[in-house]
Amino acid sequence: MKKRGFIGFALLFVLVAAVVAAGCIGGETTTQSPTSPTETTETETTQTSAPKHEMLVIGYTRDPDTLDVHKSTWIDITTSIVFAPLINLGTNGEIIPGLAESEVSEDGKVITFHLRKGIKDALGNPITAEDVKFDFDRYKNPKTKSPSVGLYLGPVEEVKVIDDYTVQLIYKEPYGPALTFATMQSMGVFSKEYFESVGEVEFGQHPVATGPYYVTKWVRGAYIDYERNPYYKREYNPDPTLTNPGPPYIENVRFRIIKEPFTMISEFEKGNVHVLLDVPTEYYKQLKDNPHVTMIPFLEYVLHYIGFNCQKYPFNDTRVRQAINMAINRDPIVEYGVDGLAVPIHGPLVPTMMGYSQKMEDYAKQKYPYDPEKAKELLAEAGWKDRDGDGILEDSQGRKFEVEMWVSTGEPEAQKVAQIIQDQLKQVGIKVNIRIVEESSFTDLVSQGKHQMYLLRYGLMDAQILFYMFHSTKGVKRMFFYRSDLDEALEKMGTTVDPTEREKYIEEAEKILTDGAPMVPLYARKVFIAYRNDIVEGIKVNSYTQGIYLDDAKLK
Amino acid sequence: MKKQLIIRKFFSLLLPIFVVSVFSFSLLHLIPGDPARYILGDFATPQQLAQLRHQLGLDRPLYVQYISWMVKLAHGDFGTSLVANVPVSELIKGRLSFTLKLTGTAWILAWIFGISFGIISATKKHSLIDYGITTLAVFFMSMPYFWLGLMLMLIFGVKLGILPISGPGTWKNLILPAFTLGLPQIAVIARLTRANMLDVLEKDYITTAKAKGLPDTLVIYKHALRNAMIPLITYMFLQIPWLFGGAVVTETVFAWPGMGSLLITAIFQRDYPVVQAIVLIIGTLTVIANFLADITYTIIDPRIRAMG
Repeated sequence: MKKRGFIGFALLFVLVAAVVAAGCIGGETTTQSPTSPTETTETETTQTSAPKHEMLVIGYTRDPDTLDVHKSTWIDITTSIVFAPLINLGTNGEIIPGLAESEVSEDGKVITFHLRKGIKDALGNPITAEDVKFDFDRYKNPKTKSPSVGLYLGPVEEVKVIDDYTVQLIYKEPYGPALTFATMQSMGVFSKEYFESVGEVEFGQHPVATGPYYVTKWVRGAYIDYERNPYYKREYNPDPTLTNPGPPYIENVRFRIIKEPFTMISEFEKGNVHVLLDVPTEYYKQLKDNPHVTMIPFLEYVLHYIGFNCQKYPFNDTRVRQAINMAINRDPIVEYGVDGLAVPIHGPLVPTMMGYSQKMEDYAKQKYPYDPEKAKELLAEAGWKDRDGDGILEDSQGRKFEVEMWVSTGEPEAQKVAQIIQDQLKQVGIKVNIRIVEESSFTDLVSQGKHQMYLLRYGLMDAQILFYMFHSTKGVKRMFFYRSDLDEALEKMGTTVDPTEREKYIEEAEKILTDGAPMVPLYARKVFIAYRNDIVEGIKVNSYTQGIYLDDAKLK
Repeated sequence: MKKQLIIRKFFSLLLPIFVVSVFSFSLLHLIPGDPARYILGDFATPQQLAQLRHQLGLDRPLYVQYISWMVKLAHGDFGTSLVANVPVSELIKGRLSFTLKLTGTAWILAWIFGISFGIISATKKHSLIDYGITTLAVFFMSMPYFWLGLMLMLIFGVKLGILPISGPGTWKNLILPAFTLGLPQIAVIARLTRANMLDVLEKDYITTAKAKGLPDTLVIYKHALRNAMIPLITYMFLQIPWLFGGAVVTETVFAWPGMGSLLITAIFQRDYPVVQAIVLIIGTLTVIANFLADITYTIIDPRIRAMG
């Protein structure tokens, strides 16, 4: 073969290979080369070429693993508009009816749901008590391998159909947060017929249920398309803030998955994305000044706190932990650590958690006012004095008060907060060394008790979080703060369904936690939903579910 | 003899692919973090974690897990995603096409523009154009994809508004990410073309051709370019791993739903089967690219054939 001939062949090969790479292998939807300007690679239209505002586009940073609410590891807005629960959590934090009305038995072991008549899913399949039973049975079936069933469904022994419109959840023992969690989309209702006709995998990709929207198309990593449920009725969520009597006004909704914040903000400012579900903190100021942007704040039900290892020197002394509670000033932490986008918290719960008690927040605030002098006194009482005059406290054996504080890589703002804490504790003679620990191994290391103190957060929509954080055997291992009276209060909280009675036990647990001071509660973040007010109106949020309502939304 | 050589080389591919498979398997298992923890969340008790690890087969010795993975792989089964509960092949299928579209387009752009600029640079040696191209080439070669992507987006998507900012869609959506990925390659190819052209242009046969009275264009395109291309052919394949590497960042910046963004998510979730599959696919493609580079070189250049 002559050299020249081969080069010709090689160049031809490049061309063919390129076309193959770009087109044939590359496209499920096309065989054309994407560089050809006269051809489109996808048949569907995009935001840029579509006529103005036919579809509501919501920007979202997460790429869901599955849309099957029983199997998903992360329950969020991508499924809450699809799965309507039996009962709802109203915008004021009260339980309101939904597809059903609920009734709790005297002993708290049975919750009866009276279903509305004539419920249909988005494809018109009728929903009866049999469907509810099918759904919950599937949820608790070990074969489903649901990561969330223990939390949301709780210790349900049997799902019993009384008649077509009555179904009962029968618990092994009363489950305290049962009503709160019954409002989650994981407890949402879908048609047995639809599920069985499409199968489990397809159901996880294109769920159809009883919520205001259903999924029509999902291109993983790119977008999820929804169409409105024509059978949806306002009584499925009779929240007083909503006015739309029927199905949502907007027919098509798309969630666009964009992970890079700069890209997201660019699309939002261009008007290609109409709603941002979580405004990145660094862009808050920029968007606030934009007249076309409306921002709705809500308080995240996540508490950021300093945790101590209560079984390890020097934090095995309650007085030391209490002293640090008085040495921390939350104001500069909120103002400089998190740019003012937070609310200081003194007690173990955040106002948007169900079961929050203002009384106990006030109690904690009074018990530990910011008072470095008093903190020093308390430390001296515990034997910590500056014996050699170097500004750092020593105990009676001359050991210096020098501790390590762990900070997770998962929270960029935490490193700023840590430095402020470091500085504040220095004022009372405690030397803090900050150690950055990789996010995915952080909690594993902490649960092994290798830490002295750390900076982290915990969150859940219900006060039940305290049970998981602090119960000595059934909780996670974080602060190693174990008290039999605390366990007892937490267990009672966990098995009392009646909200007023339950509140007693929540307050009891909160008091023990405040007095014993295994942690320093710091703040809860304010997060913002932003929307383009020149494109869409009527977006509403619910702080207690941390979700948005599209029922009343209209495109302009 | 040539056939034998190619067959021998082909078998020598299996070793690196095996190493890649072992590597991709052990790498994730060595770093801390746990898919069971990710799936069950922070409130899971050690018992629940242990139970799920058992269900997922993560409590078996590593070599057993590896062998069972390989056996499945031999049957064309990449396993099931631990987190998404969907067959890995299902997850990757859609993503692979997007990545190939992106890298393929960047590849074509790199060659068209790279060679053109290289020729211009070489024929106008030491002119203002040559210096301009050289400066730009050095600039684009040293810029990270992340920055380059954001700048192109800012200029053409946001300020000028002539191209879509991000996401998949029509061919227009492909332009910015493809140029982000292609620009550094254009720069490299332009530099290589220029150097090779200058080399060839000094050869005796070019002087002869010119002396015969052939027009300049004919000399450049027929005699010089063809010979200057030979060393470049290898680079055509060698650049493929670079394109895949750059695609990971580029896809994230432009919200392009390819394998790169899937890979990043899977790594954070410690979704072993997904990460393994992607690393294996990219690794295999890289090995194959190197193999093709080797083969073409052998075929083109008789001296290498003799040595092989």
